[in-house]
Amino acid sequence: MSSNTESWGSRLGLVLAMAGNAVGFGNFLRFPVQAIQNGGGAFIVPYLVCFLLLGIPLLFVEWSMGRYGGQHGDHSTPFIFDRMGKNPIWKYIGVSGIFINIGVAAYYCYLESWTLGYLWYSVTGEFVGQTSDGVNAIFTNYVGLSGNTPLVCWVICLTVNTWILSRGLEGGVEVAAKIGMPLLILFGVFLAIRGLTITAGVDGAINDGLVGANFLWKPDFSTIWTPKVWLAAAGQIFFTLSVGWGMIHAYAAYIKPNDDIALNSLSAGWTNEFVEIVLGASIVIPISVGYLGIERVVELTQSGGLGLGFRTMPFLFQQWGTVLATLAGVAWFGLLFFAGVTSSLAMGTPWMGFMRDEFGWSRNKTALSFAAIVFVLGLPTVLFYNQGVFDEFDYWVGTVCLVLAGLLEIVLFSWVFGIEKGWAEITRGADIKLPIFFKFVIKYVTPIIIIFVFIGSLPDIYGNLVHKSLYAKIAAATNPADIATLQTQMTYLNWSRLLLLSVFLGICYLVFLANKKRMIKN
Amino acid sequence: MTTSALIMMVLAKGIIAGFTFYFFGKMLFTPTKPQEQTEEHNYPRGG
Repeated sequence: MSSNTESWGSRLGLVLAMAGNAVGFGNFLRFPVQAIQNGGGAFIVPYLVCFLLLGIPLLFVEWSMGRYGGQHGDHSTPFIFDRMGKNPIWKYIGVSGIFINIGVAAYYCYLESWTLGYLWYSVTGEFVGQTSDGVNAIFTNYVGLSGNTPLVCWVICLTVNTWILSRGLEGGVEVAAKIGMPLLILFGVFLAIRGLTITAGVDGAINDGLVGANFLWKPDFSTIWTPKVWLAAAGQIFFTLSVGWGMIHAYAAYIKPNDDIALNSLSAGWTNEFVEIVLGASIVIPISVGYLGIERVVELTQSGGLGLGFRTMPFLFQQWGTVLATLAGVAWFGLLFFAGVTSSLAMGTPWMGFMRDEFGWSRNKTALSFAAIVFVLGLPTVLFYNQGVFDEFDYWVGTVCLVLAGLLEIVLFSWVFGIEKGWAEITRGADIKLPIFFKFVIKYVTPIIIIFVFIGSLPDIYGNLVHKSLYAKIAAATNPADIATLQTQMTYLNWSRLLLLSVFLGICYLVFLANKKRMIKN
Repeated sequence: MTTSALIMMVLAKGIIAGFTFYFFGKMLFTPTKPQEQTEEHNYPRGG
């Protein structure tokens, strides 16, 4: 039994921390792009269906698995899974719950540090008087590590995360969530109102804000039966709710045994949806369409939301005059920073729980070790960003592993642990009566949807595994220097995969040692 | 803004805001239960 006896200080703190772990960059930058690329307003239909049949069931499952593990002294997935499964292999499958978080934190903290850097630039007036190309160049220089700001901000971010983690759940994570989430919503409301009230002809706007809203929400119902759209909706739900990661389990492991999880998980899940649909969908697209027009925005969304968030928004804010531009910059990058911090803190919690439970490490020592691992593992993503290492980490850890882990955990919960006991766990202490319909959904529907998502992604996974697009680029290249660059890039990508594999195996070894320790103790 | 886009936007945001306020409000105003001493290991390992 671990000496880890922390718990949440208040119900509100728990729900805000859980919502904060889910609210991230994806709510503001990924959802609008996904909606535009998959049928506009019609995308909300598959999205809400997936939320109901995939997101909510997985929230129930992960919250209850976490609380179940916590009441037995297990605060991370390896031994939560081990306790629920009959086969010793489950504890190694549970390694995913630590590995994914460390792997994602490695690049996520760097991304988080961009928001801090850009917050600083907004305050110091770095963007004032810049042209669109000038703002674009600032971003290129930033990720190219020109100047000290990127590295300094990265180290500050790691330090802030470490400090908050070392203060524990109640005194650190919960306080951060109680400050960060309301501020994030406040900044979001300010920007959403500003975005939707842009008037054509004022401050250089070429369209009303509602033209952007129309562009985003105009439904194309012909896309609704396309498998690709459903795949995108399911992927967005996985991504936005942070299911499959192992951090919900880790947070829920500190819930008191008879405390509600049904109502709390619904509150946290719907709060995330509120931030994504009500706020997130009202900022980037209305503002960028207002100033750049639909064609240019379509072009920009081809490369995802990050470009819009960092290359475009600072320039657009400048159209509002210095004072409002500074305020908008602080609100936008402050909002992204709080979204990032509340998520990265959650990523540290599984490692904290595991090391404290199994090896009796102190909070400070565990938080420092987390920072050290994230620093070392994150270095390649910082130094070799332009070689695609950042995206490689994101693809394998932050995308493929999530779906696999989500599938395995729901199989464990519904079929190995058993849906009867699982449902009893979900409803124990519930402050709300859950429809029995979810019992059926958890056992049959959700696993089928995840299998569908996984099978649908297989061609893409295979293509990435064998570097299909990189080989195609090499075949198309005629300049020997370009070919050499692409081949070097492939080497970097292979090394980053090897690095991730080593981390996974390293955590497996720690689990093996912990298990041995437990056996000796028993 | 076209009518269909307006309907989709208002419906989506309305439904989501409605559910969020309902669950969040219910969570805020439901008193926390007193903790009973529960026995550990409700279920044997392996379910």
